[in-house]
Parts: sequence; C-alpha cells; structure tokens
Amino acid sequence: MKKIYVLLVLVAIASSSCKKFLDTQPTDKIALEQYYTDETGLTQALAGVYDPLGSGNVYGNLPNGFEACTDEGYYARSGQVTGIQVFNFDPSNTNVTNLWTDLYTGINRANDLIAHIDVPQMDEGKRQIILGEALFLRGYYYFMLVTRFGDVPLRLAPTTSPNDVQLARSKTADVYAQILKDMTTAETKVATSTAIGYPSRVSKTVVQGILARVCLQMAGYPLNDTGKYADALAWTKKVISSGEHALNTTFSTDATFNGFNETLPSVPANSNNAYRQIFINAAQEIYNTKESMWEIEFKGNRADGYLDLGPLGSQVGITMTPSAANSPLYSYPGYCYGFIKGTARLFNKYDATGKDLRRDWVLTTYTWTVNNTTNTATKTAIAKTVQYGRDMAKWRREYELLTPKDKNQTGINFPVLRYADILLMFAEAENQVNGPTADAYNAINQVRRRGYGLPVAVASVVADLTGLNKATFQQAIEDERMRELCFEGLRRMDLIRWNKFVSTMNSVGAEMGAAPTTGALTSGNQQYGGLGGKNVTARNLLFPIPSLEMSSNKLITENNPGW
Amino acid sequence: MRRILLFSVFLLTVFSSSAQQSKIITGTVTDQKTGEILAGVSISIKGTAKGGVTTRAQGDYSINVPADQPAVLVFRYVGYHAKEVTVNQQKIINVTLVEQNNDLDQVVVVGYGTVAKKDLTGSVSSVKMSDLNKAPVRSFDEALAGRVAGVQVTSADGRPGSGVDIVIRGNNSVTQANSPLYVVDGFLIEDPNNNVVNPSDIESIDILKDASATAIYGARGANGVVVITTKKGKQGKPVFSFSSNIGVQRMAKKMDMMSPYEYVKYQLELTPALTGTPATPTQIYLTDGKTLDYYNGVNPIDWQDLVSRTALYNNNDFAVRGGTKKLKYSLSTSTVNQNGILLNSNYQRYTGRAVIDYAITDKLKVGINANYSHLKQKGIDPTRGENGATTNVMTSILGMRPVPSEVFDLEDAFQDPDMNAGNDYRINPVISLQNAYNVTTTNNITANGYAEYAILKDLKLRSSFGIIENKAENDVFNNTKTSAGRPGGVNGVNGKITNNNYSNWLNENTLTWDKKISKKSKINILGGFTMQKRHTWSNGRSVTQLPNEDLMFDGFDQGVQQRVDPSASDWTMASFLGRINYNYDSKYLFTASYRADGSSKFPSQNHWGYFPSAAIAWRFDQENFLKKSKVLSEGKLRVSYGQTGNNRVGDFDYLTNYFNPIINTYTFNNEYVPGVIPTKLGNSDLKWETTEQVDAGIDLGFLKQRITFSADVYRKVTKDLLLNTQLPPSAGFGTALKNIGSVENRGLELTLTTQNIVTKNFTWSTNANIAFNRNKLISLAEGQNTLESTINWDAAWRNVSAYVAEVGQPLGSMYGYEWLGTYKYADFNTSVNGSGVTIYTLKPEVATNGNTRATIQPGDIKYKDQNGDGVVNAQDYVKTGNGLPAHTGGFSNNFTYKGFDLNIFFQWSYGNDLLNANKMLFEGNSNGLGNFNQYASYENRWTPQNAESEMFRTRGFFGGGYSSNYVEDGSYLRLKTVSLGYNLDPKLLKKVYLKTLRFFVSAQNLATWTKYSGADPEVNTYRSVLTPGFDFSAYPRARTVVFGTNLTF
Repeated sequence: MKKIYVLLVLVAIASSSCKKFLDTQPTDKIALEQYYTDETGLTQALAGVYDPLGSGNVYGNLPNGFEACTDEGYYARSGQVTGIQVFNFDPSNTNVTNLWTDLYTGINRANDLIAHIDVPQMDEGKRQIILGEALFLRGYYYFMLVTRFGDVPLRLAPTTSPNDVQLARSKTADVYAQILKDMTTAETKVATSTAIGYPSRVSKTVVQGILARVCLQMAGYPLNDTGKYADALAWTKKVISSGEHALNTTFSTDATFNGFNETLPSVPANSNNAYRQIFINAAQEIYNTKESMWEIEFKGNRADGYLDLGPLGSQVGITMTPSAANSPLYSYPGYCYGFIKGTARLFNKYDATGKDLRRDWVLTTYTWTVNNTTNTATKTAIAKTVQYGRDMAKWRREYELLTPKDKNQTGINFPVLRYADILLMFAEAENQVNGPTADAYNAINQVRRRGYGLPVAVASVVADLTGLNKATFQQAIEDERMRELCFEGLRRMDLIRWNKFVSTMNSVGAEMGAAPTTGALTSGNQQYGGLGGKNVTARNLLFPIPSLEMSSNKLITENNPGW
Repeated sequence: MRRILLFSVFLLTVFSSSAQQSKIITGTVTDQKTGEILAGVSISIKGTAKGGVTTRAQGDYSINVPADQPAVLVFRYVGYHAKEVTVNQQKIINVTLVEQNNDLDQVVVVGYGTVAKKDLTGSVSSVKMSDLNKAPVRSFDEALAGRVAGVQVTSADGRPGSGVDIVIRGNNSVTQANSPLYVVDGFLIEDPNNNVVNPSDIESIDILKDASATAIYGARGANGVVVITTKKGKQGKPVFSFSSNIGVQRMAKKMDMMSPYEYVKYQLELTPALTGTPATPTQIYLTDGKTLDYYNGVNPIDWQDLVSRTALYNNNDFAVRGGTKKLKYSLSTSTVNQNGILLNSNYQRYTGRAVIDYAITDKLKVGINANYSHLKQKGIDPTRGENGATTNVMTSILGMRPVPSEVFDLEDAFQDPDMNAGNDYRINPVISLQNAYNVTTTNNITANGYAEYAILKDLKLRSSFGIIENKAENDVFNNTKTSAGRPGGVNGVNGKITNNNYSNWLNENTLTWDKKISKKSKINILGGFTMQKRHTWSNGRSVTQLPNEDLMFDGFDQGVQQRVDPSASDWTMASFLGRINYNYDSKYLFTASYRADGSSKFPSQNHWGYFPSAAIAWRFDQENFLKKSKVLSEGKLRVSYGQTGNNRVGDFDYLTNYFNPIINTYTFNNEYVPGVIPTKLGNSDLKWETTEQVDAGIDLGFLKQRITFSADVYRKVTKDLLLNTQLPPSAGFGTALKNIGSVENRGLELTLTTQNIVTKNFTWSTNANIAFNRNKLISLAEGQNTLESTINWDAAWRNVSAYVAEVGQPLGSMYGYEWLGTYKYADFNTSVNGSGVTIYTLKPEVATNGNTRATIQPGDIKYKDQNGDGVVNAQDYVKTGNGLPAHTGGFSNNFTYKGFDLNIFFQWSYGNDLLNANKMLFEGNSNGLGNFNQYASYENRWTPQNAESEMFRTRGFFGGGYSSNYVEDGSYLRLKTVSLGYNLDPKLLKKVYLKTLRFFVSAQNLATWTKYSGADPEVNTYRSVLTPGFDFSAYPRARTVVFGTNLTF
C-alpha cells in the first residue's frame, strides 16, 4: 500500500510540473516584439504597409483591370465578355474582392504599425517619419476604398481577435474626414522629397499633392463639397512653391531612343522628347523625383526569387508574343500581352497633325512582327491614318535593361503622382476658385508645351491655350488630363468627380461599337472595344461591396445602389 | 488411358478393403470444457474414403474399422479442433473435442490494454491480417479499404507512395484534419507515414470507432483510433520465416484518344484559317496535296504507351522469432522495390525491426521494440503543375498530338514546335519524365521501451518511453530538359533541397488493478499519466541559374542562392487517464473512462480538456434462457456514450504570428525590404473541438459462431469546430481559427462473417461489411450559410467555386451550373445577311450561357438559368453532385481445398460523385488550345450533321463555372485482391527441414466495374474534406500481379 502512496505523490509532482511543460514558447520568431526591435525592424514593418500597393490586385491590376475600360482605352480581347474589364461582373468578382481585401490588409498593417510605433528603441525623428508614412498610407488606402466603394467600414485599430471583427459602414463624408485627418497629420511628419531621394517613399510634397487630389475628389461628385477647391488650390500651391519639383524637360539624344514611324514629318530623326523620356526612365529604373513624385516601386525579373514585379510593359504595352517558349525574343524586346488598346477618341484628342508628341508615344506607331522560325522580331509601321486598334504604348519593354526578362511582369514603376498632375490640379482648382487666371493658364500651358516638345517657360502660339471662360477652361483641363495622364489610373475617378462617367462611357461605347471594321481608319475589327462602355450604368459609379464581406460581416446589410 | 488405370486402382482398393476383416468401435463425443454431448460429429478412418459416420442425437456413434491393422479415427466438428485417435485394442472410444479458439476468445487491443472480444463494450473492429497480408501492397493502408465497416479509405491516385486518406465514421472537422490517431505499439502519432511499418511485421490492426473506445485518447480520439501492434517473439525454437514475391504492374486503363484522322479533322475545325502565326492546321497537315483522308492511313503515336511501362514489384521479408520462457525476441527485415508504371518513378523501402521482451524476475519485465525504415520515393507528382493545367505531365501525355511530323521528329522534340508556347506549356512527356529529378528520402527511427512491475498480485505498474526521429529530405533538380529548368525560363537550371524533420518523445505510466472481487464479478481499473513532446523543424537550400547541370547538387555553390525560410516549432501534451471495467458474471459489462489532456497548442487558460465516456453491454447469450441454445452462440447488446476531442491545429495558432515573407517584400530605392507583417491572426480563446458520440450495437453469433453478425448505429455531433473561419476581409485577415460551427454524422455499420462450407478438404468462408454514413453540416460561423471551395488545377479556374458546403447538407458537394446539353437550332431566330450567310440569333426568351448573347451559336454548351434572369452567371450555381458515398464496403471470400487456398476480395463505394476536370480539357478543350488531342468520345460532338448531339461543338465551350457535365457517378465495385496459394505437405517438407512452404500468386486491382468515364474511380487529387473526388491529372492506377513464396523453417 505504501507503494501506492509513493505513486500518488509522483503523480502530484508530475501534475504540478505540467503547467511549465505545457507553456511552450515559439522557437521561431513570431511575436511582434521580436521584429519591432529597432529602426530596421520598424522600416521593415513600414515596407509591409507599402506592400499591398504593389500587389497584383491593386496597382498590379490597375492598368489592365480596374482602369482597363475608360474613354482612353479598352481591354484588347474580344473574348473577354465578363469581368471588370468590360463592366460585366457581380459582387462575387474576384478582382473586386481582392482589391477590397488587399486595401484593408494595408489598413490593418498600418493600424498595427501606428499602434506599436513606440515599441522599438530608435531615433525619435525617424520614428515620427515612419509614423507619418503609416498615417498617410492608411489615409491613402481609405481614399482608394472610398472612391471605389463609397461608404466603407472605418477601422482605425489593428484586428487582434477573430471574435470582434464585425463593423458597419461609415458614411463617405466621415471616411473623407478621417483621410484628411491622417494625411494632414502625416504632412507634418514625413521627410522631404529631397531628403528621401527616391520616389517609392512618401514625401511631404507627395502628401500635399495627394491631399490636393483628395480635396478635388471631395469637391466633385458625390460629395460636391465645393469648398474643397480652395483647399486643393492651397495644397498644390505648397507643392509648387516648395521648389522640389519641376516638369522633366531633358531627354537623351542617343539614337537608340529614336522613335519609329512618327506622324509628324518635321520631327527630327532623333524623335525622343522629354515626355517620353519619363517613361523610358521608368523602364530603366532611373529615378526623377522632380517630375515623378511618387511611384509604386517594382523590381526584378523573378530570377532572384523575389516577386515584387508589376504589369507595365508586359501586360500593357506593345504586343509581342512569340510562340516558342525558349525564344530569345523574351529577352529582347520582351514578351507583352498588349491587353490595352487606345480608343479613337483618345487618338483624336491630340493634335491631328501630330504636333502634340505625346500621341505617338502613348499609342503605338508600330507593331512587332515575330518570326518564330528565325526568332526575330521587327517593327512594322502602322498606317498613320489608323485611329482604332493601336496598342497602349506608354511603357515599353524594349527599353528595359535587366535580363533575362520575366515573361509576364516587369520592374517598371507605376507613377502615382507626377508634377504634371500637380500643375493640372492647380489649374483646375484655380479656375474653380478664381476663374481662368494667368496662373491657371501658365500651369496648363507648361504641361502642353512640354507635350509639344517646346520649352516649358516660353509662351507658344502652337501649344498654348488662350481666351477660355471658366467652363471652357474646365473642359480644356479635362481633355488635357486625358492627353497627359492617360492610362495612369486617374481617368475613372476624374470622370466620376466631374459627374460624367456614365454618359462618357456610354458614348465611347457607342463610338467603338460603331467603329469601321475595315479600311484606313482601323487595324481590324475593333467593335468589341465598345462592350465595356455600353455595359456601364449608374451602378458602376461604385464597385459592389464584395459578397465575401457581405456574408462574413453581418453589420453590412445593404450593398451599393444597383448591386 | 490414365483414367482407366486410376479407376482400376480405385476398384482394387475397394475390393481389397471390403475383403478385410473388421471390428466395431463405439463411443460418445462430448465437449471437453462443458461436457455437452455433440451430435453430428463426422468420424472417418484416416487414409480411406469409405466408412465415415456421424454421431447421433445422443452423441454416440459406431463405426467399422479394419481389424488387421492399426487404424486412425478422425473426428471433425464445426467450430472444434479435429482430433485423431489411434485404434488399438479398445472397443469403446469416448472422445472429447476442444472448441476452436473462435473470435470470441480473440484478444482485442484497446487503449492502454487488451480485452477479450467477448468482453468488449465499445465498438472496435479488428482487421483480419491473414486476408490483408494477401494483398501485394507496400503499405497496410493501401489494402485497408473495404476491410472494416465504417472505415473509409481513399487514395489520391496510383502513384507509388501517394497519400491515403482514412476516415472513420465520417468527417467531423470541416477545415482541419480528419485522419484518425494512430497508436503504433503504444506510441501515439497523429500523422504517421504508414510506409515506415512493414505490413508483415503487423500482428494486429484494431480500429476503435465509438467514443467508449476512443475517449481514453481524449483530445486526439475524435477521428477514431487505429491501433497497430507488431509481432513479438514467442516461446520456442527459433522460427525463421522468409517471404518473397516478384511481379509486374501495368496501367489498369488507358484512355481512348482520337485517331490521326479524327485529330486532324478536329484541328481543322478548331482553326479553319489557312495561314497564321503560329502555323495553322492547314499549313501543318494539308501540305503537299495531302487531304484529311490521308490521315486514315497514318499510324498514331501512342503517348500513353511511350510514357508507361510494365513495372517491376519486388518485396522480400525475413524474420526470426522465438524465445525462452524469460527472453523472447523477434527480428525482422524487409526490402521493397516498386517501380511506378510511369517512367522514372519508383519507391524503395528498407526496414529492420527488433522486438525483445525479457522477464528479469517474476515481477519485473522489460522490453524494447525498435524499428528503422529507410524510404525513397522518386518521380514527379503529376497532380501538381506550375499554375497552369498544361504544365501537368498527364496533360502532355494525353494532349500531345498523335500525328507524327514529317518535318521534325516529334518523339524526340522537347516541345511540339507547332504549338503556341506562349500560353501552352506542354513539353514532350517522355523527355519530361526521364529528366525529372524529384526524390524524397525518409529515415525514420521509432523505438519504444517499457518496464512492467507487478507491485502486488493484482496491481501492475507499467512505464514506457518511446522516441520517433523522422528525417525527410526532398531533392529536386530541374535540368534544361524539364519544364521548370528549360532555357529561356528566368530560373535557368535550378534545384532545391528541403529537409522536413521531427522528433517526438512519449512517456507513459500506467497502473492496472485487475481483481476478481467475488466469484461472479471482476474489476479492472486503469490509471495513468503520460507526457509527450514533438519538435518539428525544416530548412533547405534553393539555387537557380546553375551553370553546370552535370554536377547536379554538387554544383550548388555556383548558382544564385535563393532565400529559404527555415522553421521550427514544438508542441507538448500531458495527460491523466483512467478507466474502470466491471464484469458481472460475464453477463453485464460496464466500462467508464476519463481522460484529461493538457495541450500546449491552446492558450494557458484552455490547456486542459476533459473527455469522459461510459458504456454498458449485456451478454444475453449467458442468460439461463439462452445459455442452452443450440442456435445462438453469442448475443450481446452494447450502448455507449462519450466525448472526444480534436486538437489538430498549428502549434502556436492561438498567437498572432508575425513574419517577413519574401512575397511581401517592398522595394525602397531599388533595394528589397522584406515587409514584416502579421501573417496569421491568433485567437486567445482557442480550445478543443469536441465530438459527442452515441453508439448502440449488437453482436450475434449462431451455430457455434459459424455465422456472426454485428450491427452498430451511431450519431456523432461535433461542436466548437476548429474552423478556419472566413473573416470579413475588411478585418485585414482572410481566415482565423475559431471554435464555431457544428457537424453531425449518423451511420449504420453491418458486418457478417460466415463459414459456408467446412469439410475435410474444402472450406469456404465469407466476410462482408457495409457501412452507411450520413454527414450533415449543422452550422458554420455566425450567419454564414455556405462555404465555397476553389481548386487551383489551372490558372483559369483557380478562382471559380468548385465545391460548396451548405448548412443542412453534407460537406463537400460539387457546385456549379446545371448542364443542359447544347443549344439546338430551335433556340435561334434566323436571318440572312448581305453575303447570303444565315445568321443565328439566340431567341430573346432563351437564356445565355454567360457568353455575349450575339456570340452564342447552335451547338454551344447550354446551362440552366436557375433564377430566370436570362443570363447564366454565378447566381445560377447549384449543388451538382455529392462527394460522399452513400455506402462503402467489402466482401471477402476464402476457399481452401487440400493444400490450396484462395482469397477473393471485392471492395466498393456507392453513391459518390466525381468531378472530372480531365474531361474539361479532353472532351471539348475548355482552354481552346491548338495541337491538343482529345478523347475519342469527343468525336460525337455537335456538328450541323450531328445536330442532336448534347456534346458541344468545337469552340462551343463557355465557362464561368463548373457544370454538371463534368460531375459523374463515381460508384464502383472493384475486384481488389485475388490470391491463390498452394501449401506443400508438411510431411514432405519435414524431410528437407522446412516447416511450411507456400507458393502463391496474388493480384491487386484486377477488375473494376464503374460508370465513370475517367481512368479510375478511386481518385482524389485534391484531398480535403471540402473537395472530395476531384480528378485531374492523376497518376494512372496499376494492376499488379505477383508470384511469391512463403517459407518457414
């Protein structure tokens, strides 16, 4: 019997040591505190907040997905009859769901960083810069959400438990209020563009520029808070007066940058210009933060194992699709699906004689003719009369330097905010507040002169606008934004704030639907390009709240109008 | 001539025996144990065919035996051992017969002990190892299907070493594992590699099904428990046993592809253009004045033949077992070499096991059971591609064009040069298979030692300590002739080494008090304390751009090193357990058990979970009114209730995990910065998943157990599911584990064994079982009614829902459009355009198939517009099939005739559907690929001449959803195992110092009866509860025939 007592004592000892035995600690680094140790750790956390911008569901899917169909261009696959590219989808659409998901992923990471900003031991000034960027990014993600989904749940603290995740939608105006709050706080904290020196981190002038964009959006449809024009004006003035930015006016005169089959006979043999140099620089990983203020930075060719690539040049660009898998053409000029073609409307917005040099850059003047036997690709000129069916050509893989090139993606950065946009926003806000003043003319005309390959500071009879009233000046701004900023992911938002999205899309749809199927004006039958425009109705002013959110967040009871 | 001779000999014998003098022997036959008289006992004289008699109603007999020579009488009776008595001078011979050890005396291994089958209160099934071992398979789980009622076994495909899913009494868990807990010689393992155990080392497999049996395993018992016990040494001289078999495997079914003529005809229909880039079929096939008819005379290239082979299967076992009263030993080794039926795939195994038991004193026993296994699996997994269906090797095998080219040697070409390699990644499957290097080597050491001490006569302490060390290394090398390493790809020649390791220890201490309280009542009390810890870790190396592919892994330092993230983790578990067995007069049996499990996988306030169970059984055959029954030999009613748990979650899932994954890198200033992000949301309330189960069963035996029958009904409700719950995406996380939702399984299991014929030379016995399980999802997360699942078999389909789990319905139903065949001419309005061409416009009242209305033409695929809005889209998805069978079962027959034995085993599954994704590619070419062969069945497609066909026309496919067109009845009946053996006469063998010698021929997967159009209905290429029965690019299943020898001496 004694032995049994001994055993019982042993069991008792065992049970008391159980707690220690069961309290295992991770042997991997899995706790926040293990990463938020110092400036490097916090910078990595900040990279995590930036990361969703470069995702294949956000900027990675902007030019060939969410912004595929505007009055500037259309999705160049006649078989694409469903999906966001042609405005035929439902709330279960994966692209919409993934966009929503990734934006909120970014918000949660920003919330996490903001909540734990004081964890690492580090220089206080640098801590505040990172805090400013996180605040800005949270605001920017909400800006992307509110402009696409309207009223959205406003989450300002990190999610820490799966048991408390239901949240109702906040009113659009309240979301904007939070955006302004975050961004104006950020504006006081982040570093200057000069101090940063590269375009992938947000600088003070970028925050100011984006604040201008936010204010313009608020001033237009649906909030119509016209008082915000003055704020937009103030923010753009801050950028302009900062002296940190200017239009790019330089370009390489190297013959390798020569154009091919340019429209204007008088363009010299060396047909490079400052406008196209911006995008050639992007393909060659050359930064120019004066003009290109904020870029989503992409890099690599997958050979290093990283997957931080984007769609410019490969998804959208000049079609180049050799059929052999191991073709050397993959490395030059580089594979391109050519998913976007420009509308005739865009083609015709430019000077018909080709004096506006931007046209022959943003819409291709040639196609690649591939010989699969000899593995060669040669440029074939497109007839100068062709208005329909030109590939969107703003970003071109032939200028990429890194080889081997990945088939599907490139390292070309996506320009989110250019100084040209600052000038056009300034002109628009100035016109709205004070009418077409000399300052307003000066701003828009600088952009136009650069587009015509002329000195930006010198008045030009050919390029300059004059003699417009407030309304016609506004129209000129709208057209100029198309010419200058087309395919940079802004058109849809612009058309909506000007409250002409549905009518514009329907009319461009009708235009494309009635395109000539043969003849000098077109390269093949492009009538399918009208499908998306024709499909647009008032409900397309917003995307639907994804059904995944609706089914798992019971506090969202109603979807957007028409969905 | 020979027959006449034989006949004469026979006559002569009859004549001579009748001529002899004889005497009469009388006597009575009784049961040795009970003294009961036995009527109907057959008595024969050994060595003669005549003169046999049987005992009369009073058990008495009389028989004539020859008087002049000693005769031997043989007494035979069903259920009893035969007895031989030599007749000397006596006239009266009374005989007692000993009842055979029938299944009632069988000992069943249950948790932490054994129990006689007749005293079982729970639902436990034993696998008949003698039958199972007749199947020529490498691992026991491959032969388990259909053996035991309620144990559903599905293998992914026919690849040697492919995964096998074992599910006991239906799926409890929705997003977590449903595989049972394995207890191998007392060691608890949740996810064993069953290949490490040599099946011929296995003494018994017992499957614990109801909660009364499994609750002793507490938090890990909910999915059922498979208890495997290996052979131990037996007292006696050493017995050497040797078994060897060698055989061949061949592809069980080849798919019927289009002939050259039909293929070219289809290509011309697919791409009618005369010229194009790449070259059109007209340019490729109709050159030099050739017409379509020319291809009637062309010999096809049969790619299925080129990639497959008659593959060798070889298995050798050697064991020596024996011992003294004190020391018993069992030593065994085995080798398996199994070539896959596809080129360059192979499985090898080497095992060695030593089991030693030593009684140091009368009170103290010690022992050890140690096993080492070396496994080597070679070859690629055809079910996994690289993000596009055309990268899967079966797509190349079936899809490569059957028409030889006159321009180049298609069989030697790396790729079909006429194919559009921009979106079609097929490469020559022969080259691809030959060059693929994918080898997984596993080294596993399992060792378990114990000491057992009898403290008192009735009180035993047992303490054991075991370890498992498992190291698996996967080596992949992609040279220039593989899909992943081809020139032009960004990775160049590349390779990867991945190590996945774990080590696991378990200490168990139990105290058993086994006491006879009174004459009629016995009690057995068990108490115990156990601790277990598992450490897992992984690491590896990945290199791209290797300049010297000849060096293979030796050249790894020359390439570009890629980031590989190592990992390491632990879990621990501590448990208290107890059980009482009470037996009154062998009539009333009672069992109660309780286990407290503490698991590190849950936050500290939820470490402990408690799992009680109770069962009662009544052996009514022991009641006086039935005790004398001649008919009923066993009768037992059982009822049990219990709670069990499931803890299959990650080691630290309750914590929010942070990491810097390479895919979440962002670039600052052209430098990669790996983003630190929360990768997984923790849940500080996480706890066990609990299953409550009620079981009622009856066991009946008739005619001295000549017929036995068991039936069990059960209902299991699993609540607080460890559900990987969909969170609102706005929360910033996709999913998180929550204890939410509930699943029910109800079922009925029937098992029947009969000895149909038992005669001197011929016996026939049958064993049949059938199980019905109804699975129902009771609830999901709050307000959530459905859970949809997608399958990433092809980039175009990875976001399309293929399966749905809906509340009130079984888990894992196929989901998509209801297929209506094709649009017919009657669905269209016609007009004639300016060029005189008839234009077909879909009538406004006819719904579209998702395509643009104007594009739809006669012969296009048609789906049902469920909501009547005129457009078919995701809103029109319905449940199109059921992935779970209505019933499964097996039917085994054993025949013996003299030295011959024959086992025939059938296995079936009925009522489950399969989602045949192969058909999407090969019966209609859903991706519209050029130079892509089709099943011969697609010849029946819609054409203007075949306008009633329900099979859509060339290019008539439109997707947007899976459809019932691809859901097929997956029911099958399979002649799974046939084994024929011949045992040589032991007397003859004695002369050559052998004990037994058996020659045999065994076959596996001999024939299958099914309506399924695919290669094999036993397929599950994306194994999960939510996505059962998906068939894409499965490794073909083999038909195996082996010849072999069993030898003991």
